[in-house]
Amino acid sequence: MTQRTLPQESPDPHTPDALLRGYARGETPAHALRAVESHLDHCPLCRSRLSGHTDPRILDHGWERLDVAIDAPVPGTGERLLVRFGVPDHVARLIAATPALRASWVGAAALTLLLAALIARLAEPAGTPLLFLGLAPLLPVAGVAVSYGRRWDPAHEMGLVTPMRALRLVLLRTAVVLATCIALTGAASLAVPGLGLATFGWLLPGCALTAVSLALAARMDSTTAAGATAAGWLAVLIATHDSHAVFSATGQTASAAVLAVASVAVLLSRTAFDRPAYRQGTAR
Amino acid sequence: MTDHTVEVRELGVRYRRSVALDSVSFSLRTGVTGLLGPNGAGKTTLLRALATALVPDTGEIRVLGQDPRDPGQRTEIRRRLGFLPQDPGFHPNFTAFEFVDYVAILKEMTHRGRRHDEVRRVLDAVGLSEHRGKRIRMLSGGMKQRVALAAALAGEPELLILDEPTVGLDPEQRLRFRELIADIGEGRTVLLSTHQTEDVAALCRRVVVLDHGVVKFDGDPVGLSAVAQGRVWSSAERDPQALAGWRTGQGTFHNIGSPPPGAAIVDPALEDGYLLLLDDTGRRAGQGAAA
Repeated sequence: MTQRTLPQESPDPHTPDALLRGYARGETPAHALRAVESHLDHCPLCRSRLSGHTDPRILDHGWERLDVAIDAPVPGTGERLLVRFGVPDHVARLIAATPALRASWVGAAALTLLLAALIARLAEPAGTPLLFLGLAPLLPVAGVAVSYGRRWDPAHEMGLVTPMRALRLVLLRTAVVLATCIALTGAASLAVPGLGLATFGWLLPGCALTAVSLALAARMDSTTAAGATAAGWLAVLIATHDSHAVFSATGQTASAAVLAVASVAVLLSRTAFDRPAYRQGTAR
Repeated sequence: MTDHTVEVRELGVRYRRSVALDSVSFSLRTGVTGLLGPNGAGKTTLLRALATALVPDTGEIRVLGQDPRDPGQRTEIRRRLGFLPQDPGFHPNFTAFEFVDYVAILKEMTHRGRRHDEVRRVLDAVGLSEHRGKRIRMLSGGMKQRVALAAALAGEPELLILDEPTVGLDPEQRLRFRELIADIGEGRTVLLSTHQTEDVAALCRRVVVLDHGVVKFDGDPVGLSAVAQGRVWSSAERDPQALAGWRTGQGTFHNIGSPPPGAAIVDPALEDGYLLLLDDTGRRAGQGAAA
Protein backbone atom coordinates (compact mmCIF):
# COMPACT_ATOMS: atom_id res chain seq x y z
CA MET A 1 0.00 0.00 0.00
CA THR A 2 1.41 3.41 -0.96
CA GLN A 3 2.30 5.64 1.95
CA ARG A 4 0.38 8.92 1.92
CA THR A 5 2.32 12.12 2.64
CA LEU A 6 0.03 14.79 4.03
CA PRO A 7 1.24 18.41 4.29
CA GLN A 8 0.83 18.52 8.04
CA GLU A 9 3.26 15.62 8.33
CA SER A 10 6.09 17.81 6.98
CA PRO A 11 8.40 19.30 9.62
CA ASP A 12 7.98 22.63 7.73
CA PRO A 13 4.49 23.97 8.57
CA HIS A 14 4.10 25.33 5.02
CA THR A 15 2.99 23.41 1.93
CA PRO A 16 5.95 21.89 0.05
CA ASP A 17 6.79 23.36 -3.37
CA ALA A 18 6.06 20.11 -5.20
CA LEU A 19 2.58 19.97 -3.72
CA LEU A 20 1.93 23.63 -4.57
CA ARG A 21 3.05 23.06 -8.15
CA GLY A 22 0.73 20.08 -8.42
CA TYR A 23 -2.13 22.11 -6.92
CA ALA A 24 -1.57 24.93 -9.44
CA ARG A 25 -1.78 22.36 -12.24
CA GLY A 26 -4.92 20.80 -10.73
CA GLU A 27 -3.08 17.53 -10.06
CA THR A 28 -3.31 17.36 -6.26
CA PRO A 29 -4.40 13.90 -5.11
CA ALA A 30 -7.90 13.89 -3.66
CA HIS A 31 -6.71 12.79 -0.20
CA ALA A 32 -4.38 15.82 0.07
CA LEU A 33 -6.69 18.42 -1.45
CA ARG A 34 -8.57 19.37 1.70
CA ALA A 35 -5.37 19.75 3.73
CA VAL A 36 -3.75 21.95 1.05
CA GLU A 37 -6.80 24.20 0.66
CA SER A 38 -7.29 24.45 4.39
CA HIS A 39 -3.68 25.57 4.82
CA LEU A 40 -3.91 28.03 1.90
CA ASP A 41 -6.98 29.60 3.47
CA HIS A 42 -4.96 30.65 6.48
CA CYS A 43 -1.47 31.19 5.08
CA PRO A 44 -0.76 34.34 3.03
CA LEU A 45 2.82 33.19 2.45
CA CYS A 46 1.75 29.96 0.73
CA ARG A 47 -0.89 31.81 -1.27
CA SER A 48 1.82 34.13 -2.48
CA ARG A 49 4.10 31.16 -3.31
CA LEU A 50 1.18 29.50 -5.13
CA SER A 51 0.79 32.49 -7.47
CA GLY A 52 4.40 31.90 -8.55
CA HIS A 53 3.45 28.42 -9.73
CA THR A 54 0.29 29.45 -11.55
CA ASP A 55 0.07 30.24 -15.26
CA PRO A 56 -1.20 33.87 -15.38
CA ARG A 57 -3.22 33.05 -18.54
CA ILE A 58 -5.22 30.46 -16.64
CA LEU A 59 -5.81 32.94 -13.83
CA ASP A 60 -6.90 35.68 -16.28
CA HIS A 61 -9.22 33.26 -18.03
CA GLY A 62 -10.69 32.25 -14.68
CA TRP A 63 -11.26 35.88 -13.68
CA GLU A 64 -12.77 36.61 -17.07
CA ARG A 65 -15.20 33.71 -16.70
CA LEU A 66 -16.08 34.90 -13.23
CA ASP A 67 -16.71 38.43 -14.53
CA VAL A 68 -18.92 37.06 -17.28
CA ALA A 69 -20.85 34.92 -14.79
CA ILE A 70 -21.37 37.86 -12.43
CA ASP A 71 -22.35 40.25 -15.25
CA ALA A 72 -24.62 37.77 -17.03
CA PRO A 73 -28.04 39.35 -17.40
CA VAL A 74 -30.78 37.80 -15.32
CA PRO A 75 -33.69 36.70 -17.54
CA GLY A 76 -37.24 37.77 -16.71
CA THR A 77 -39.50 35.73 -14.43
CA GLY A 78 -41.32 34.03 -17.29
CA GLU A 79 -38.09 32.98 -18.97
CA ARG A 80 -36.63 31.64 -15.73
CA LEU A 81 -39.81 29.67 -15.11
CA LEU A 82 -39.70 28.13 -18.58
CA VAL A 83 -36.04 27.17 -18.17
CA ARG A 84 -36.84 25.61 -14.78
CA PHE A 85 -39.46 23.46 -16.52
CA GLY A 86 -36.82 22.19 -18.90
CA VAL A 87 -37.36 24.51 -21.86
CA PRO A 88 -33.96 25.26 -23.55
CA ASP A 89 -32.83 28.81 -22.81
CA HIS A 90 -32.87 29.89 -26.46
CA VAL A 91 -36.43 28.65 -26.88
CA ALA A 92 -37.43 30.45 -23.66
CA ARG A 93 -36.05 33.69 -25.10
CA LEU A 94 -38.00 33.24 -28.35
CA ILE A 95 -41.14 32.67 -26.29
CA ALA A 96 -40.44 35.72 -24.12
CA ALA A 97 -40.58 37.88 -27.26
CA THR A 98 -44.18 36.82 -28.00
CA PRO A 99 -46.20 40.07 -28.18
CA ALA A 100 -49.37 38.32 -26.93
CA LEU A 101 -47.63 37.47 -23.66
CA ARG A 102 -47.51 41.12 -22.66
CA ALA A 103 -49.35 41.80 -19.43
CA SER A 104 -51.87 44.02 -21.23
CA TRP A 105 -52.98 41.25 -23.61
CA VAL A 106 -53.06 38.52 -20.98
CA GLY A 107 -54.95 40.83 -18.61
CA ALA A 108 -57.52 41.71 -21.27
CA ALA A 109 -57.94 38.05 -22.20
CA ALA A 110 -58.40 37.06 -18.54
CA LEU A 111 -60.95 39.80 -17.95
CA THR A 112 -62.87 38.86 -21.10
CA LEU A 113 -63.03 35.21 -20.07
CA LEU A 114 -64.08 36.04 -16.52
CA LEU A 115 -66.87 38.34 -17.66
CA ALA A 116 -68.05 35.82 -20.25
CA ALA A 117 -68.08 33.11 -17.59
CA LEU A 118 -70.02 35.30 -15.15
CA ILE A 119 -72.59 36.36 -17.74
CA ALA A 120 -73.00 32.78 -18.95
CA ARG A 121 -73.54 31.61 -15.38
CA LEU A 122 -76.05 34.34 -14.58
CA ALA A 123 -77.95 33.80 -17.84
CA GLU A 124 -78.05 30.01 -17.64
CA PRO A 125 -77.32 28.92 -14.04
CA ALA A 126 -77.59 25.22 -14.81
CA GLY A 127 -77.03 24.96 -18.56
CA THR A 128 -74.02 24.90 -20.87
CA PRO A 129 -72.14 28.25 -20.63
CA LEU A 130 -72.62 28.97 -24.33
CA LEU A 131 -71.42 32.56 -24.27
CA PHE A 132 -68.18 31.47 -22.60
CA LEU A 133 -67.68 28.54 -24.95
CA GLY A 134 -68.43 30.70 -27.98
CA LEU A 135 -66.03 33.45 -26.96
CA ALA A 136 -63.13 31.43 -25.58
CA PRO A 137 -62.02 29.87 -28.93
CA LEU A 138 -61.56 33.37 -30.34
CA LEU A 139 -58.97 34.31 -27.73
CA PRO A 140 -56.18 32.07 -29.08
CA VAL A 141 -57.11 33.16 -32.61
CA ALA A 142 -56.65 36.80 -31.57
CA GLY A 143 -53.58 36.00 -29.45
CA VAL A 144 -51.84 34.16 -32.27
CA ALA A 145 -52.75 36.88 -34.79
CA VAL A 146 -51.00 39.50 -32.65
CA SER A 147 -47.96 37.29 -32.04
CA TYR A 148 -46.20 37.66 -35.35
CA GLY A 149 -46.13 39.68 -38.53
CA ARG A 150 -45.17 43.17 -39.54
CA ARG A 151 -48.06 44.83 -37.77
CA TRP A 152 -47.60 43.25 -34.34
CA ASP A 153 -44.04 42.06 -33.93
CA PRO A 154 -41.89 45.17 -33.42
CA ALA A 155 -38.74 43.37 -34.53
CA HIS A 156 -40.45 41.64 -37.45
CA GLU A 157 -38.19 42.93 -40.20
CA MET A 158 -34.98 42.09 -38.33
CA GLY A 159 -36.40 38.63 -37.68
CA LEU A 160 -37.68 38.10 -41.22
CA VAL A 161 -34.22 38.32 -42.76
CA THR A 162 -32.72 35.71 -40.43
CA PRO A 163 -32.49 32.01 -41.32
CA MET A 164 -34.91 30.94 -38.55
CA ARG A 165 -37.94 29.30 -40.17
CA ALA A 166 -40.83 31.69 -39.61
CA LEU A 167 -43.32 28.84 -39.24
CA ARG A 168 -41.29 27.41 -36.37
CA LEU A 169 -41.50 30.72 -34.56
CA VAL A 170 -45.21 31.06 -35.34
CA LEU A 171 -45.99 27.53 -34.08
CA LEU A 172 -43.92 28.09 -30.96
CA ARG A 173 -45.83 31.25 -30.17
CA THR A 174 -49.11 29.54 -31.05
CA ALA A 175 -48.37 26.81 -28.50
CA VAL A 176 -47.57 29.41 -25.87
CA VAL A 177 -50.73 31.40 -26.56
CA LEU A 178 -52.84 28.23 -26.42
CA ALA A 179 -51.21 27.21 -23.14
CA THR A 180 -51.90 30.66 -21.72
CA CYS A 181 -55.55 30.46 -22.81
CA ILE A 182 -55.91 27.01 -21.22
CA ALA A 183 -54.47 28.35 -17.96
CA LEU A 184 -56.82 31.35 -18.06
CA THR A 185 -59.82 29.11 -18.76
CA GLY A 186 -58.85 26.94 -15.83
CA ALA A 187 -58.63 30.01 -13.62
CA ALA A 188 -62.02 31.25 -14.87
CA SER A 189 -63.66 27.88 -14.20
CA LEU A 190 -62.34 28.01 -10.66
CA ALA A 191 -63.34 31.64 -10.15
CA VAL A 192 -66.96 31.14 -11.28
CA PRO A 193 -68.69 28.43 -9.25
CA GLY A 194 -70.55 25.70 -11.09
CA LEU A 195 -68.73 25.94 -14.43
CA GLY A 196 -66.54 22.93 -13.93
CA LEU A 197 -64.94 20.99 -16.76
CA ALA A 198 -67.62 22.17 -19.20
CA THR A 199 -65.46 25.26 -19.71
CA PHE A 200 -62.89 23.17 -21.59
CA GLY A 201 -65.41 22.47 -24.32
CA TRP A 202 -63.85 25.42 -26.16
CA LEU A 203 -60.46 23.76 -26.50
CA LEU A 204 -60.93 21.68 -29.64
CA PRO A 205 -62.89 24.39 -31.51
CA GLY A 206 -60.25 26.89 -30.30
CA CYS A 207 -57.40 24.78 -31.72
CA ALA A 208 -59.33 24.26 -34.97
CA LEU A 209 -60.03 27.99 -35.39
CA THR A 210 -56.40 28.84 -34.62
CA ALA A 211 -55.22 26.39 -37.28
CA VAL A 212 -57.72 27.81 -39.80
CA SER A 213 -56.52 31.32 -39.02
CA LEU A 214 -52.88 30.28 -39.54
CA ALA A 215 -53.72 28.54 -42.81
CA LEU A 216 -55.39 31.76 -44.02
CA ALA A 217 -52.48 33.87 -42.71
CA ALA A 218 -50.17 32.10 -45.18
CA ARG A 219 -52.11 33.94 -47.87
CA MET A 220 -53.08 37.22 -46.22
CA ASP A 221 -52.31 39.55 -43.33
CA SER A 222 -52.61 37.79 -39.94
CA THR A 223 -55.21 40.26 -38.65
CA THR A 224 -57.40 39.86 -41.72
CA ALA A 225 -57.07 36.09 -41.41
CA ALA A 226 -58.11 36.21 -37.75
CA GLY A 227 -61.06 38.49 -38.59
CA ALA A 228 -62.26 36.16 -41.35
CA THR A 229 -61.95 33.16 -39.02
CA ALA A 230 -63.88 34.92 -36.25
CA ALA A 231 -66.61 35.92 -38.68
CA GLY A 232 -66.94 32.32 -39.87
CA TRP A 233 -67.08 31.03 -36.31
CA LEU A 234 -69.80 33.52 -35.32
CA ALA A 235 -71.80 32.51 -38.38
CA VAL A 236 -71.57 28.85 -37.33
CA LEU A 237 -72.61 29.70 -33.75
CA ILE A 238 -75.59 31.73 -34.85
CA ALA A 239 -76.69 28.98 -37.20
CA THR A 240 -76.46 26.28 -34.52
CA HIS A 241 -77.23 28.22 -31.34
CA ASP A 242 -80.37 26.39 -30.26
CA SER A 243 -79.05 22.86 -30.69
CA HIS A 244 -75.74 23.40 -28.93
CA ALA A 245 -74.50 21.25 -31.76
CA VAL A 246 -71.10 22.89 -31.95
CA PHE A 247 -70.13 21.69 -28.48
CA SER A 248 -71.81 18.29 -28.71
CA ALA A 249 -69.80 15.15 -29.45
CA THR A 250 -70.61 15.56 -33.14
CA GLY A 251 -69.51 19.19 -33.08
CA GLN A 252 -66.25 18.31 -31.33
CA THR A 253 -65.60 15.61 -33.92
CA ALA A 254 -66.17 18.16 -36.66
CA SER A 255 -63.74 20.53 -34.90
CA ALA A 256 -61.13 17.77 -34.79
CA ALA A 257 -61.57 17.19 -38.52
CA VAL A 258 -61.24 20.90 -39.26
CA LEU A 259 -58.13 20.99 -37.05
CA ALA A 260 -56.55 18.12 -39.00
CA VAL A 261 -57.31 19.62 -42.42
CA ALA A 262 -56.18 23.12 -41.43
CA SER A 263 -52.96 21.76 -39.87
CA VAL A 264 -52.09 19.99 -43.12
CA ALA A 265 -52.83 23.23 -45.01
CA VAL A 266 -50.47 25.14 -42.68
CA LEU A 267 -47.67 22.63 -43.17
CA LEU A 268 -48.13 22.66 -46.94
CA SER A 269 -47.79 26.44 -47.01
CA ARG A 270 -44.87 26.60 -44.57
CA THR A 271 -42.56 28.51 -46.91
CA ALA A 272 -45.17 31.24 -47.28
CA PHE A 273 -44.30 32.47 -43.78
CA ASP A 274 -40.68 33.03 -44.88
CA ARG A 275 -41.62 35.05 -47.93
CA PRO A 276 -40.62 38.69 -47.86
CA ALA A 277 -43.40 41.21 -47.64
CA TYR A 278 -44.59 42.25 -51.03
CA ARG A 279 -44.78 45.92 -51.90
CA GLN A 280 -44.90 47.07 -48.32
CA GLY A 281 -44.81 50.68 -47.30
CA THR A 282 -43.79 53.53 -49.52
CA ALA A 283 -40.70 54.39 -51.51
CA ARG A 284 -37.95 55.77 -49.32
CA MET B 1 -23.35 35.91 -63.16
CA THR B 2 -19.87 36.56 -61.71
CA ASP B 3 -18.19 36.42 -58.31
CA HIS B 4 -19.59 39.74 -57.14
CA THR B 5 -21.14 39.70 -53.66
CA VAL B 6 -24.21 41.45 -54.97
CA GLU B 7 -25.43 41.75 -58.53
CA VAL B 8 -28.56 43.60 -59.55
CA ARG B 9 -29.93 43.75 -63.07
CA GLU B 10 -32.82 45.87 -64.32
CA LEU B 11 -34.45 45.90 -60.88
CA GLY B 12 -37.90 47.45 -60.78
CA VAL B 13 -40.31 48.05 -57.89
CA ARG B 14 -43.60 49.95 -58.07
CA TYR B 15 -45.83 51.10 -55.22
CA ARG B 16 -49.30 51.58 -56.63
CA ARG B 17 -48.82 54.51 -59.03
CA SER B 18 -45.29 55.54 -58.03
CA VAL B 19 -42.08 53.98 -59.27
CA ALA B 20 -39.67 53.25 -56.40
CA LEU B 21 -36.93 51.61 -58.49
CA ASP B 22 -36.68 51.88 -62.24
CA SER B 23 -34.34 49.47 -63.99
CA VAL B 24 -31.56 49.66 -61.40
CA SER B 25 -28.37 47.75 -62.22
CA PHE B 26 -25.12 47.57 -60.29
CA SER B 27 -22.80 45.13 -58.57
CA LEU B 28 -20.79 45.07 -55.34
CA ARG B 29 -17.56 43.48 -54.24
CA THR B 30 -15.72 43.46 -50.92
CA GLY B 31 -15.43 46.87 -49.26
CA VAL B 32 -17.73 49.65 -48.12
CA THR B 33 -20.15 51.16 -50.63
CA GLY B 34 -22.26 54.20 -49.84
CA LEU B 35 -25.76 54.66 -51.23
CA LEU B 36 -26.63 58.34 -51.41
CA GLY B 37 -29.90 59.91 -52.41
CA PRO B 38 -32.61 62.30 -51.24
CA ASN B 39 -35.78 61.18 -49.44
CA GLY B 40 -37.97 59.12 -51.74
CA ALA B 41 -35.05 58.16 -53.99
CA GLY B 42 -35.70 54.44 -53.45
CA LYS B 43 -32.72 53.68 -51.19
CA THR B 44 -34.69 51.80 -48.55
CA THR B 45 -36.59 49.84 -51.20
CA LEU B 46 -33.32 48.79 -52.83
CA LEU B 47 -31.74 47.76 -49.52
CA ARG B 48 -34.85 45.80 -48.48
CA ALA B 49 -34.87 43.97 -51.81
CA LEU B 50 -31.20 43.03 -51.35
CA ALA B 51 -31.84 41.98 -47.75
CA THR B 52 -34.62 39.58 -48.89
CA ALA B 53 -37.27 41.66 -47.10
CA LEU B 54 -39.05 42.66 -50.32
CA VAL B 55 -39.80 40.98 -53.63
CA PRO B 56 -39.09 43.20 -56.64
CA ASP B 57 -41.58 43.38 -59.51
CA THR B 58 -38.98 42.98 -62.23
CA GLY B 59 -35.29 42.28 -62.68
CA GLU B 60 -32.77 39.88 -61.23
CA ILE B 61 -30.84 39.85 -57.98
CA ARG B 62 -27.95 37.61 -56.92
CA VAL B 63 -26.77 38.00 -53.35
CA LEU B 64 -23.69 35.99 -52.34
CA GLY B 65 -24.26 33.96 -55.48
CA GLN B 66 -27.81 33.01 -54.46
CA ASP B 67 -31.18 33.85 -55.95
CA PRO B 68 -33.53 35.23 -53.26
CA ARG B 69 -36.60 34.03 -55.18
CA ASP B 70 -35.72 30.43 -54.37
CA PRO B 71 -36.74 29.53 -50.76
CA GLY B 72 -33.62 27.44 -50.08
CA GLN B 73 -31.24 29.99 -51.56
CA ARG B 74 -33.05 32.78 -49.72
CA THR B 75 -32.37 31.03 -46.41
CA GLU B 76 -28.71 30.64 -47.39
CA ILE B 77 -28.48 34.40 -48.04
CA ARG B 78 -30.08 35.07 -44.66
CA ARG B 79 -27.48 32.88 -42.95
CA ARG B 80 -24.71 35.10 -44.26
CA LEU B 81 -26.43 38.49 -44.03
CA GLY B 82 -26.57 41.27 -41.44
CA PHE B 83 -29.34 43.83 -41.97
CA LEU B 84 -30.05 47.06 -40.13
CA PRO B 85 -33.50 48.32 -41.23
CA GLN B 86 -34.29 52.00 -41.40
CA ASP B 87 -36.73 51.86 -38.48
CA PRO B 88 -35.58 48.93 -36.37
CA GLY B 89 -38.19 47.82 -33.87
CA PHE B 90 -37.48 46.29 -30.49
CA HIS B 91 -39.20 44.22 -27.87
CA PRO B 92 -39.26 46.99 -25.28
CA ASN B 93 -39.08 44.75 -22.23
CA PHE B 94 -35.84 43.16 -23.34
CA THR B 95 -32.51 44.52 -22.22
CA ALA B 96 -29.94 45.44 -24.86
CA PHE B 97 -28.22 42.10 -24.19
CA GLU B 98 -31.46 40.13 -24.38
CA PHE B 99 -32.50 41.73 -27.64
CA VAL B 100 -29.18 41.08 -29.39
CA ASP B 101 -29.26 37.57 -27.91
CA TYR B 102 -32.78 37.13 -29.35
CA VAL B 103 -31.61 38.12 -32.84
CA ALA B 104 -28.56 35.85 -32.43
CA ILE B 105 -30.92 32.95 -31.68
CA LEU B 106 -32.89 33.78 -34.83
CA LYS B 107 -29.53 33.58 -36.62
CA GLU B 108 -29.31 29.97 -35.51
CA MET B 109 -26.79 30.47 -32.70
CA THR B 110 -28.20 28.02 -30.22
CA HIS B 111 -25.09 27.24 -28.15
CA ARG B 112 -25.54 29.42 -25.09
CA GLY B 113 -21.88 30.03 -24.21
CA ARG B 114 -20.71 30.84 -27.73
CA ARG B 115 -23.80 32.96 -28.38
CA HIS B 116 -23.33 35.01 -25.24
CA ASP B 117 -19.67 35.56 -26.11
CA GLU B 118 -20.75 36.83 -29.52
CA VAL B 119 -23.42 39.11 -28.01
CA ARG B 120 -20.84 40.59 -25.65
CA ARG B 121 -18.42 41.07 -28.55
CA VAL B 122 -20.86 43.00 -30.76
CA LEU B 123 -22.19 45.09 -27.87
CA ASP B 124 -18.61 45.99 -27.03
CA ALA B 125 -17.94 46.82 -30.70
CA VAL B 126 -20.77 49.38 -30.70
CA GLY B 127 -19.74 50.76 -27.29
CA LEU B 128 -22.69 49.45 -25.33
CA SER B 129 -20.99 47.06 -22.92
CA GLU B 130 -21.84 49.19 -19.91
CA HIS B 131 -25.48 49.51 -20.93
CA ARG B 132 -26.14 45.91 -21.87
CA GLY B 133 -28.30 45.29 -18.81
CA LYS B 134 -30.58 48.29 -19.44
CA ARG B 135 -34.12 47.83 -20.74
CA ILE B 136 -34.38 49.03 -24.32
CA ARG B 137 -37.26 51.36 -23.46
CA MET B 138 -34.86 53.21 -21.15
CA LEU B 139 -32.24 53.78 -23.86
CA SER B 140 -31.82 56.94 -25.96
CA GLY B 141 -32.48 56.92 -29.71
CA GLY B 142 -28.76 56.74 -30.49
CA MET B 143 -28.28 53.83 -28.11
CA LYS B 144 -31.23 51.96 -29.65
CA GLN B 145 -29.67 52.47 -33.05
CA ARG B 146 -26.45 50.94 -31.75
CA VAL B 147 -28.35 47.98 -30.26
CA ALA B 148 -29.85 47.33 -33.71
CA LEU B 149 -26.41 47.68 -35.28
CA ALA B 150 -25.01 45.17 -32.79
CA ALA B 151 -27.81 42.76 -33.71
CA ALA B 152 -26.94 43.18 -37.41
CA LEU B 153 -23.25 42.49 -36.67
CA ALA B 154 -23.93 39.33 -34.67
CA GLY B 155 -22.57 36.22 -36.34
CA GLU B 156 -19.97 38.09 -38.41
CA PRO B 157 -22.07 38.26 -41.58
CA GLU B 158 -20.30 38.28 -44.94
CA LEU B 159 -22.63 40.96 -46.26
CA LEU B 160 -23.78 43.87 -44.14
CA ILE B 161 -26.67 46.05 -45.34
CA LEU B 162 -27.19 49.15 -43.23
CA ASP B 163 -30.05 51.58 -43.81
CA GLU B 164 -29.07 54.97 -42.44
CA PRO B 165 -26.94 53.58 -39.64
CA THR B 166 -25.65 56.95 -38.41
CA VAL B 167 -29.07 58.45 -37.66
CA GLY B 168 -29.22 59.51 -34.03
CA LEU B 169 -25.50 59.09 -33.37
CA ASP B 170 -23.55 61.96 -31.84
CA PRO B 171 -20.22 63.00 -33.44
CA GLU B 172 -18.13 60.77 -31.17
CA GLN B 173 -20.36 57.76 -31.79
CA ARG B 174 -20.29 58.49 -35.51
CA LEU B 175 -16.51 58.49 -35.46
CA ARG B 176 -16.47 55.19 -33.63
CA PHE B 177 -19.01 53.79 -36.09
CA ARG B 178 -16.80 54.79 -39.00
CA GLU B 179 -13.83 53.00 -37.45
CA LEU B 180 -15.91 49.91 -36.87
CA ILE B 181 -17.35 49.79 -40.40
CA ALA B 182 -13.96 50.54 -41.94
CA ASP B 183 -12.56 47.51 -40.10
CA ILE B 184 -15.43 45.28 -41.18
CA GLY B 185 -15.18 46.50 -44.77
CA GLU B 186 -11.61 45.28 -45.01
CA GLY B 187 -12.70 41.70 -45.55
CA ARG B 188 -16.42 41.85 -46.14
CA THR B 189 -19.01 43.69 -48.19
CA VAL B 190 -20.85 46.58 -46.58
CA LEU B 191 -23.60 48.58 -48.27
CA LEU B 192 -24.88 51.55 -46.30
CA SER B 193 -27.39 54.22 -47.20
CA THR B 194 -27.00 57.67 -45.78
CA HIS B 195 -27.82 61.32 -46.22
CA GLN B 196 -24.42 62.20 -44.82
CA THR B 197 -21.87 62.85 -47.56
CA GLU B 198 -19.22 63.10 -44.78
CA ASP B 199 -19.83 59.42 -43.93
CA VAL B 200 -19.35 58.45 -47.56
CA ALA B 201 -16.23 60.57 -47.94
CA ALA B 202 -14.74 59.06 -44.77
CA LEU B 203 -15.72 55.43 -45.29
CA CYS B 204 -16.57 54.39 -48.80
CA ARG B 205 -14.39 53.26 -51.64
CA ARG B 206 -17.39 53.46 -53.86
CA VAL B 207 -20.58 55.50 -54.00
CA VAL B 208 -23.89 54.96 -55.78
CA VAL B 209 -26.27 57.90 -56.08
CA LEU B 210 -29.93 57.05 -56.47
CA ASP B 211 -32.59 59.59 -57.41
CA HIS B 212 -36.20 58.94 -58.36
CA GLY B 213 -35.44 55.23 -58.42
CA VAL B 214 -32.66 55.61 -61.00
CA VAL B 215 -28.89 55.23 -60.53
CA LYS B 216 -27.42 58.66 -61.29
CA PHE B 217 -23.83 57.92 -60.37
CA ASP B 218 -21.78 54.81 -59.72
CA GLY B 219 -18.10 55.33 -59.04
CA ASP B 220 -15.59 56.35 -56.43
CA PRO B 221 -15.95 59.40 -54.14
CA VAL B 222 -13.26 61.29 -56.05
CA GLY B 223 -15.31 60.84 -59.21
CA LEU B 224 -18.42 62.22 -57.51
CA SER B 225 -16.48 65.25 -56.27
CA ALA B 226 -15.20 65.74 -59.82
CA VAL B 227 -18.77 66.31 -61.04
CA ALA B 228 -18.38 69.75 -59.43
CA GLN B 229 -14.90 70.44 -60.81
CA GLY B 230 -14.72 74.10 -61.88
CA ARG B 231 -18.25 74.75 -60.56
CA VAL B 232 -17.44 75.71 -56.97
CA TRP B 233 -16.12 79.13 -56.03
CA SER B 234 -15.79 81.37 -53.02
CA SER B 235 -16.83 84.98 -52.74
CA ALA B 236 -17.02 87.69 -50.11
CA GLU B 237 -20.78 88.11 -50.63
CA ARG B 238 -23.54 85.72 -51.67
CA ASP B 239 -23.37 85.26 -55.44
CA PRO B 240 -26.85 85.61 -57.01
CA GLN B 241 -25.76 83.38 -59.91
CA ALA B 242 -25.06 80.44 -57.63
CA LEU B 243 -27.49 77.54 -57.51
CA ALA B 244 -26.72 77.32 -53.81
CA GLY B 245 -24.37 79.16 -51.51
CA TRP B 246 -23.64 79.27 -47.83
CA ARG B 247 -21.37 81.17 -45.49
CA THR B 248 -18.41 79.14 -44.31
CA GLY B 249 -16.60 79.29 -41.00
CA GLN B 250 -14.02 81.61 -42.58
CA GLY B 251 -16.72 84.18 -43.29
CA THR B 252 -16.65 83.79 -47.09
CA PHE B 253 -19.44 82.31 -49.20
CA HIS B 254 -19.12 78.85 -50.72
CA ASN B 255 -21.01 78.86 -54.03
CA ILE B 256 -21.86 76.07 -56.42
CA GLY B 257 -23.32 76.34 -59.91
CA SER B 258 -22.00 78.21 -62.95
CA PRO B 259 -19.21 80.50 -61.76
CA PRO B 260 -18.97 84.05 -63.13
CA PRO B 261 -15.83 85.02 -65.06
CA GLY B 262 -12.88 85.59 -62.76
CA ALA B 263 -14.48 83.72 -59.85
CA ALA B 264 -12.14 82.24 -57.22
CA ILE B 265 -12.57 78.56 -58.08
CA VAL B 266 -11.96 76.17 -55.21
CA ASP B 267 -11.56 72.40 -55.04
CA PRO B 268 -14.94 70.69 -54.85
CA ALA B 269 -15.97 68.44 -51.99
CA LEU B 270 -18.08 65.29 -52.29
CA GLU B 271 -21.16 67.21 -51.18
CA ASP B 272 -20.70 69.73 -54.02
CA GLY B 273 -20.60 66.96 -56.59
CA TYR B 274 -23.64 65.27 -55.06
CA LEU B 275 -25.70 68.49 -55.00
CA LEU B 276 -24.79 69.40 -58.54
CA LEU B 277 -25.50 65.87 -59.75
CA LEU B 278 -29.00 66.07 -58.32
CA ASP B 279 -29.46 69.54 -59.78
CA ASP B 280 -28.28 68.34 -63.17
CA THR B 281 -31.08 65.78 -63.08
CA GLY B 282 -33.66 68.52 -62.65
CA ARG B 283 -33.69 68.94 -58.88
CA ARG B 284 -32.85 72.16 -57.16
CA ALA B 285 -29.57 71.77 -55.33
CA GLY B 286 -31.03 73.27 -52.20
CA GLN B 287 -33.56 70.46 -51.91
CA GLY B 288 -30.74 67.95 -52.14
CA ALA B 289 -28.93 69.69 -49.30
CA ALA B 290 -32.07 69.55 -47.15
CA ALA B 291 -32.35 65.81 -47.79
